[in-house]
Amino acid sequence: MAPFFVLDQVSYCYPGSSTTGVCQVNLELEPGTFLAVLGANGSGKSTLARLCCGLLKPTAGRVLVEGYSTANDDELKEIYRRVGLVFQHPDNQFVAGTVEREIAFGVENRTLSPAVIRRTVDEGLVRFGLEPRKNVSPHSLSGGEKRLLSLADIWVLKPKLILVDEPLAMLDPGAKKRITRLLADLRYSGQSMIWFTHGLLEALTADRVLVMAGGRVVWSGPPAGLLTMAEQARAWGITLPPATEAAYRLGLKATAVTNLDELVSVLWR
Amino acid sequence: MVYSRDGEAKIQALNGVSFRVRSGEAVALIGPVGSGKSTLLRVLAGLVKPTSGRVTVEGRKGPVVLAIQEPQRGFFAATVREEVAFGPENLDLDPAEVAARVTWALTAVGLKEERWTVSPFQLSGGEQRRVALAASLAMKPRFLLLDEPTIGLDGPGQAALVETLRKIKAETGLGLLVASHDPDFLFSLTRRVLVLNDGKLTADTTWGGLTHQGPALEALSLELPFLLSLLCRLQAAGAPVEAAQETIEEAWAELSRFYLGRKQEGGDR
Repeated sequence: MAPFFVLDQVSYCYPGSSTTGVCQVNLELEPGTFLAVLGANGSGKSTLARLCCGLLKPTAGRVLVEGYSTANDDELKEIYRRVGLVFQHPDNQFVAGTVEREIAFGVENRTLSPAVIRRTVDEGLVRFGLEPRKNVSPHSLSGGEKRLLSLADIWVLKPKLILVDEPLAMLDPGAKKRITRLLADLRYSGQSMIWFTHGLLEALTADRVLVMAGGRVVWSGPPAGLLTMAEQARAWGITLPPATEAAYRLGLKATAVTNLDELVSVLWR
Repeated sequence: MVYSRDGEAKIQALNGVSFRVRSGEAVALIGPVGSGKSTLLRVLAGLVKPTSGRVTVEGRKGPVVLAIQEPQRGFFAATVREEVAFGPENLDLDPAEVAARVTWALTAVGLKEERWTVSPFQLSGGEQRRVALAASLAMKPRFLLLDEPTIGLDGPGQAALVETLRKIKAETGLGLLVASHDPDFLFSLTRRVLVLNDGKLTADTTWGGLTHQGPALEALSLELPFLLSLLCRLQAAGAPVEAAQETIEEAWAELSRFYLGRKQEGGDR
C-alpha cells in the first residue's frame, strides 16, 4: 500500500532558541500502521507530535497527509480532518461543560446531520465506557476517565491517523490496563496510530519503532530489536520493561524476556 | 481523624485514620484513585482541617511541607532562584541564610547552575520537577509530603529523583510520606506502607507484609513492586526463595542468591 502520511526531512527550531527541537526526520506510514516513537523527556517527541498534526509548522522540510501539506494554511483544514492528536494532559483539551457536550463539540463542527451527530456521540460514549458519566463535568472525572474522554473526543472525528502522547502517564494500574486494552482494540480494528512514549513496554506490539534523541531519529526498526541492545536503549532514556531490566541485571544475556511469566519460566523451569 | 469535603453532596473523604510516623521515617501511601490519598496529605500539611480528630507534630523543628501534584503549575517567579527563595524569604530569615538555602537546595536536586537564572517556565518537565522539589527543600522541612512526584518523569528522571531523595534523607534526616501509583518507585524509597481505601486506612504494614495480601491488593487494582511480584511467583512455583522482603536491596539480594544457586546447580550437574 502507498504511504498516506509522509515526513520529508522535517526540522523545527523553537523561536528564539538556538537548539533544534526536531532535526531532519523522515517517515512514511502506510494505512493501518502502529508506529511507536520512543525517547527521553526533551528528546523532541512532543514537538514531533505537534508537527505531525499541523499544530506546528516545520521550519524546514514537509509534512504531507494524503498529499496535503501542513505548511499551507488553506490545507490545514484537510490535515485536521485526517490527523487527531490526543494531548498528554487531558485537561488541556477539554472545552465543554459535560462529558456528552465535550464529545459532541468536535463532531458538531463538521457539516453533519443532527441524526448522524447523535449517533456518533452515542457510539463514542458507549465505546469508551462514558455513558454513565455523560452529564458530569470533564474536570470532575478521575484520571483514567479523563484519558478515556480525551481519546473519545478524537475517535468520534474518525481521523485516518491518531497520535497519542504518553497516554498511560498519570494513571493507576487498573486504568492503565483499561486504556491499553482499548488502544489495542482500536489498533486491531485497522486504525493507524503513532504512540509517543518513553516506555518500551508500551511499544512492544508496534509494527515499527523510531527512537529519538536530541531531536534526531537515532534508531528505527522492530521493537524486539531494542531488547537486544538494552544498554544503548537505556542511554537513550528509554525505560525497559521491568522484566527485561531484571533479566539484564541478573546477567541473563541473549534472553529477550519482556514479562513476568517469561522471567519466572526462565528462572524456574 | 475524619475529614468531610463540602461539595454537591457531603463526601466523607477520610474516616477514622490513625497512624504515627517516627522522625526521619520514609512511608509509602498507596490506594486506588479517589481513596483519599491527596486529602490525607493536605490534612497532614495543615492545608485543610480535619472535621474531627487531630494531627500532632512533635520532636525536631521545621515545617511539614507538601509538594503537590504537578507543582510546576504553581510557578510564578521570574527566575529559578527567585522561585526557590520565595518560601524561605517568607520565614523571615536573613538574606544570607535565604541565599545559602537556595544554593544548597538547587545543588541537592542536581539542577545545573546555568539554569538557576532562567525562567522556571523555560525548563523541561524534568527540570521543573527538580525546581519544585528544591523549593520544598529550601523550607528545611522536618517532614516532606510528596503527591505523585513521578508524574511526567521518564526513566532517568525517576532514577535521579530516587537518588536525590535518598541522599537528602541520609544527609538531613528528612522524613517522607510519598503517595504514588508506581509501586516500584515507592519500593526504592520506603520500607513501611500505608494502604488507604475509601477514606479508611486498611493496612499499616511493610512491603514484606504486603506480599501476604496479594488478593486484597488485586481487589483494589493495586500492584506489588515488580521484584516482589517476581519473588512471590517463584515462591508459589516451589522455588527456594523468601518473597517477604522489606527493601529493594533485600529483594535484589534474595533474587541474586537464588539465581546464583541455580547457576551453581546447573554447573554441578
